[in-house]
This record gives sequence, structure tokens and C-alpha cells, in this order.
Amino acid sequence: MKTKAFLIFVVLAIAITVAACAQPTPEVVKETVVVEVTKVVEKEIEVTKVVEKVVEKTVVVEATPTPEPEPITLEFYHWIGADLGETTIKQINGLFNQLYPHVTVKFETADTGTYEQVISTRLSANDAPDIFGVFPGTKFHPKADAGYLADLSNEPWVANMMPGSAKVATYNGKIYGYPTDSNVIGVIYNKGIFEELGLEVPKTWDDFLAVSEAIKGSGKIPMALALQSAWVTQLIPYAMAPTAIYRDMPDFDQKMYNGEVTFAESPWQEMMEDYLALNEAGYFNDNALGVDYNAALDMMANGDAVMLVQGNWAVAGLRDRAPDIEWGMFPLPYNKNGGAIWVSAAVGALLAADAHSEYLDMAKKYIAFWASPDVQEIYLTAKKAMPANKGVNPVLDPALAEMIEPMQAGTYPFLDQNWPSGVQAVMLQDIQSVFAGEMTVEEMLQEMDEAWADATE
Amino acid sequence: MSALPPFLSKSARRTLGYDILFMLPALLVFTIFFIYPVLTSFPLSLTKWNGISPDYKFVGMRNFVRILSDRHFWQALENTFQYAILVTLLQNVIGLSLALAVTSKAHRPVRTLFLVPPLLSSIALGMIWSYMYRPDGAINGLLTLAGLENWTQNWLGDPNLALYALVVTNIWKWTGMSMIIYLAAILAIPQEIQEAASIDGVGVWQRFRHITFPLIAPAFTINIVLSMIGSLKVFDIIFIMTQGGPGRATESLTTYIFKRAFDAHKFGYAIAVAVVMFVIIMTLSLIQMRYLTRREVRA
Repeated sequence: MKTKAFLIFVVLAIAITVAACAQPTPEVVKETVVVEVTKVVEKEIEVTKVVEKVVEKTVVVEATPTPEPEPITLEFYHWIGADLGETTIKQINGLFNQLYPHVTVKFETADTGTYEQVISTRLSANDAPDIFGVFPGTKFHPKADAGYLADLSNEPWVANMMPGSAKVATYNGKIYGYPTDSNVIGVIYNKGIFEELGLEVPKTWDDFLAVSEAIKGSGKIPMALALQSAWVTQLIPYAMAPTAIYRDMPDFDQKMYNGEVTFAESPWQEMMEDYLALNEAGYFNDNALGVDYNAALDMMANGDAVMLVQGNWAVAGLRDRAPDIEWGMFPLPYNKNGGAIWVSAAVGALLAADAHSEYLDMAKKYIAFWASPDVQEIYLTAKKAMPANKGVNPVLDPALAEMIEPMQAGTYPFLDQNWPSGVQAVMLQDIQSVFAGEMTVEEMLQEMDEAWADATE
Repeated sequence: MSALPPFLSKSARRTLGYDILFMLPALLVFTIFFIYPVLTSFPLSLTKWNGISPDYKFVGMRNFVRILSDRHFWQALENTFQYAILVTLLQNVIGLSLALAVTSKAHRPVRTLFLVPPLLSSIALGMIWSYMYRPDGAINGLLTLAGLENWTQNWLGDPNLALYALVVTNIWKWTGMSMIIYLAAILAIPQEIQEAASIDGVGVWQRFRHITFPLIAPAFTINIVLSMIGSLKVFDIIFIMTQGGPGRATESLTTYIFKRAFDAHKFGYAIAVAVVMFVIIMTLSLIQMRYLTRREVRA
């Protein structure tokens, strides 16, 4: 009798567990639904691909009787899909599939803000995609140290990299990624309003302040600033530093690593003070700390604000919002002591391959395919970005094209690409604190120095 | 069954076998997916590890010693406590008041309405509230419409206000949950007791004070402990709405842990902070449970 009761209870217990497991919480339900929908869509696409493949296969079989290679699926993970709406990547993958009919590339994407965390976790959990994006410069070094990234030094495209691109793709003398695109930070402006107010593109810092003053006088906001989005806070110092620091001291970062200089005793002090002065003069929108990136783009598109210090990627967002406005772009003229204006320009992304991939050869072929000028041009035209490699001539957005000539004077990459990890995060939070009046510029630079020391110990 | 611990009651001893049997599946899942990963990550708090490298460097108690002098940790702790105390207090006062207001069957549609926010995804909800809090958003818009232009604020951009703005969002999301737990307890009170009291001429407040309140004590315990634990480990709402900013004005322990781990690649240190947080929450929960269950009575 006892055993019977026991059995009944075991069965009951299992039934209850199964029932409990089958009733996910409401939030979970929503998520699973979403996942299923995307999966179905993917499957449909795969089905059409398979159909195409079958058709091609029959043709191939009739022509050459060589045996078909085993079908391969390459996993490709990158944050770029979020900007491009994935259509361009699908187009590129379709072309690759024509070249290698037995290879299917499965593309997945993530938001820029969370990508780094997901890829780091996937790598350390031995769940690496075959091909994936890494951020240029120091951010990929720990991944290379851990042996996750394949050495791409002997790839055919290496010779075509621009010198600046090669620098941020190289670590310990080896190339770990293919630089897909180059971005530039500058002042995006509304040409119509400039014309209305009779303003010219400023060539000096004083001119820039005068232009801002004139716009303010007309009742419009000279510059839209979105300090609530932490990553936006750095763009003005990033645009200043190439001229203020690196034009005259190109090895500033190396000196930081050697402990010969500090942020506290560098032009950073003056840069930050000038940044704050722009705010005090009323050249930014009110409540910048409560305004996010999209709200700033809205201000520009409505014609409330006239200038925006941003990267070229913002041009795509502005064109979506206000296709009729004529947008232009010029370098931030932070040349207080005269001389040339250097531009903040940097490789946007590197394509890396998983060193332990089963299909490493094919992954390398896929990256080499991205390096072909045709694919590069498709990609860059859609992304409204600039080439990072020689011999590539995409259709440049008119606003972006205006930056080509100023860039000849000199460029320096986005600062964090040469910094040890952790410094940028401190800077982003501290710029907000400084604008909130909770921290002085001195304290901020001291914390950045501490973060540097902490990261390199 | 004579080897059972002496503190169990007779009835408890009789059903113990089945109790364990029923708990076993859940306990198994809980152990595999929660306890095991938590316990195995504890030793990492004694290492220096960047989260990617296969090598750990053992550093002993160094991470914990550093926490003591880490001003950003202390600020995050202060913010977290401030947040948790406000949420726990307000959510329970409002939740209980709502529960008392919707006890009749006629109020069923209203109850359902209050249960919607807890079901919404925090991400969607955080984005909607961020939008409303924008300087040109709905809240300032309404204030302006009502002629209260002086009251408009930079809700999420002002370091003195941002934390409170988040508290409001948190309460808006979770009060319905507290309400439903209180409501269940109120509805479970035998009607006769209330009736007998009102025949004896006991007033509304007295009835609440001496009958309802003592009898819903278990719900009170559950609600206080849940809302406190929930708000001490809040992450989603803050991460979506302010990412801990402006500056560090809304940095909670969880966002701090996240940033140390994933932005600064200091996983060992981040796990050490997480261990400290675990100890704090555990201690507070145990104290609360002990204190609150003592005053529970049975109807």
C-alpha cells in the first residue's frame, strides 16, 4: 500500500512539475512568442535559399560531375545589423551564397550597447560564432590574448588596408580583423538655416563661437546636445583632442602608458572647460542631461537646433527624419592657437574569425569576400560610411563628402581605441557629473588618471 | 522516523516525507540553475579576472579590501538603500490602500487594470516612462497644461530628482502586485469576525486596526520582504532609463556590478561586490522575516 501511495505521489509530483514548467510567467510567454516569430521568418528565408540552391545544384551537376561538398552553415554575429536593418547584410550573404552554393551564412545582430557583453560571454562559454565583429583598438586585445581570434596576417586584403586602419587592427604584430568602414566625427549642420542667417562654415574657434552666438541671437538653438545618452557625452572632447593634443603630440597615448603624462596636466583641462563654457554661453539646448540621442536628432530635424557634433552615422538618422533638409558637415575647428584642424576619424568595426572554428578556411574566405571592392561599396554606400581600405570608392553621402578634404590635414582615431578598458566608462559618467555640477573638471581628470592606472597595473 | 529533528511538530513529522517529495523537483531545478552557478562564482571574487581570459590570478581578499575604500561602491550602496526604502514604504502603503478600496466584487475590472503594469515588460515600460520624463515629454506637458509651468522639471536629467523619478516608475509597475497579495489576505478574513465587530459598534478604523491589520500580517510579511528584495536588486528599470546617470546619481549596486564587469572588465572585483550585496540582502531579509513573522496571528 505504501509503495502504491509513493508511486502515486511520484507521478503526481512529476505531473505538477511538468505542468508548472509548461506555464511560464507572462513575460516569458511574450519572449518565446517573439523568438518563434523570428525563427519562422528565418526558416522561410532558409527555405527559399535551399530552393535556389537546389536549382543551382542541378545545373552544376549537369555541367560538371564532381561531387557536391557538404553543406556548411557559417554563423556571423555583428552589431552592424542594427544600423543597416539587416537588408544589406542579407544582400551580401546572398552574393556569397552564389559564389559558394554549399555555404549558408546565418547572420544575427545585437544592439551596439549590449554587443560587447554578449560576444565576450559567448567567447568564454565556447559558443563563438564563426565570424564576428570586434571593436577596433584595445577593446579586442583581451580576446586575442585569450586565443579566441584567428590570426589573419596572411590574408590577401592585408596589403590594401589604410595605415590608420592597419594600426587598430594589429596587436603584437599580428592582424586580427578586417576593417570594414571608417567613421568621422564633425559638426553636422542645417545648410538652409546657415544661408538664411548669412553664416559661413567657421574655420577657427573664434569663428565657431561667433556662429553659435549669431544662431542664438536668431532665437534658435545653436547646438543640440544629448547628454543623457552616455556615449554622446564624449563626442565633443573626441572632436577637440586631435587638434588640441595629438596634432602636436602624436605619442600622447604612449606617454600615458609610460606614465610620463597625465590627463590632469594635459590640454584635457582646457578642453573640458571650453566644453562647459559652450553650455554656460547658452549654445546648447536646455536640460541636456535629460535629452537623449534620438531627441537631439528630433531637434535638428524640426529645425529647432542648427548644429550637432556627431558621427557620420547620425546623418542617416537625420535624412530619415527630414529628407528635405540639406545637411552639411564640417570639422570642429578647435584650433585656438591657429594652425591646422585635425579630424577625429576611426575605423568603425573589424571582422574577426573564431580561431577554433570548424570552418576557419571558409570563414576567412567570407571575410576576404567582404574585402572585395564590390562588396565594400555596397556596404559603405548603405552605411553612409567611409572606406578604411585603399581602392574602394563608395557613393558618399553629400554631407560626408564634405569631410574628405578636411581629413587630409590629419586625423586621429576615437580616443578609447588606444585606451585601456575602463577609462572610457569612467569618463562617460564623469562628464555627466561635471555637467550636473556634482564634480569639478579636476576631479574628473583625476578619476580618469586613476582608472588608467587601475587598468594597466 | 525517530531521528527527525525535535523542533518539528507531530503533523509536520507525519507529512515530512511527502513534503520533501513535493519540493524535490523544484529544489532540483533551483539547485542546478541558481544555487550551483551562484556558489561556483563565489571563489572568483578572490581573483583578478578580465572575464575572457582562461587564466585567473588569485589575489586573496584584495577585492574586498578595495571595496571598503571605493567611494563609487558606497554611493551605489547609498542610492540602493534610498531607493529600496522609498519603494518598500510607498509600494506597501499604496498597495494596501488600493486593496482596501477594491474589496467588493464590483471592483473586479479595476483590480484587473492594476494588474496590467506588473505584466508589462520592464524594457517597454522603461522606454515609455523615459519618453514621458523627457523635458518636452508628457509629464511636463501636462503640468504646463494645468498651468503649473513652474513645476516642470528635467526629471531624469537632474541628479537630485532622477532617483525619485525612477522610484515612481518602480512603484507604478509593482504596486498592483502588492495590492493583489493584500487583497487575497483581506478576502480570506472570515466575514463573521468583521460582522460581529460592526454589530458591537466597532468603527471602521478600529476594525482595520484590530481585525484586518493583524489578520493580514502574513501578506504584510511577504509584501515587505518581496518589495525590499526586489528593489535592492533593481536593475532593468534603472539600466533602461538612466544607466545609473546622470553621473552616478542613480547608480545602484547592480548597475555598478554590471559596469565593473562588462565595461571595465574587472570580473573578479564585480563578483566581490555581488557577494557583498548577497550578504546584505540575505541579512536584511532574515531580520525582516524574523521580526515580521513574530507578529503574525492565525484567524
